Amino acid sequence: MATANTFTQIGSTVTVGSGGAATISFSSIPATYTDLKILLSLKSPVTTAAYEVFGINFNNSTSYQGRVLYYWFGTASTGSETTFTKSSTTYARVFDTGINTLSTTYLNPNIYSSTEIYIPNYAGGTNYKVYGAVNASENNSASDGGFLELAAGLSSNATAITTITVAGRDNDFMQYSTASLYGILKY
Amino acid sequence: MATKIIVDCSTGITTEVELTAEEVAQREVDAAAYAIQQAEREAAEAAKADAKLSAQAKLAALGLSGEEIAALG
Repeated sequence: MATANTFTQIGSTVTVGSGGAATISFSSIPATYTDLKILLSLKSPVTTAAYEVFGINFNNSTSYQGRVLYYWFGTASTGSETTFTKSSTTYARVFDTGINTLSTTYLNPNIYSSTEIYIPNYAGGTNYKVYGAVNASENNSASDGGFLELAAGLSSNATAITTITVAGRDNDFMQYSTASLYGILKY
Repeated sequence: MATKIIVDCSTGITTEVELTAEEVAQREVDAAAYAIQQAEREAAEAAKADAKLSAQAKLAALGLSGEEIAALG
């Protein structure tokens, strides 16, 4: 029995082994919490670009409808903002955000990106699911600041979330990448 | 072969298995879809930047100073 006003790890922290991993999933997520939080430390083996992306999927869905708002600060520009509506019968990702790569050009070969995702009221069976995410794929450089992104969105699917999958775009997550899931019980 | 790591939150057991053919195909679809989405996003931002430069040039031609144009946002 979960206790009110608590922040509890669900399952165990995943640490990717030497072979890498294409996806990391948390399945059979119990409905006993109010909200979920996911903490990620990830790295992509790409060497030709400053940043790669990874995506989040709910319930192994292969379609998506919803909206997402991004605000990001990239290495090559001072900032940009995009609001758009996503709708796809094939695209599985609820949203994408940045991940550090092995690029030596951008000074980040040893740095893992950090991402925090918050999903309130994930277990409701009648409400569309909203989420907020903060991502920092920094470069450890004062002159080449990295990639910082804020994202908030709405998934137009009222099904309770029982599975969450984190997936690289087209590359595996590297060894020592980690993923942790937490349940928050407010009352 | 690419693998996936699954944490079963009901048992606490973590397993690592190979992706199915369907999952590999979905991964390719997602990569292609993201590339299209990213290209559309970048094209929209480039068009917006071009329009801003054009508007600033026209305002300058009307006699506005750089500070006045900047104040317009």
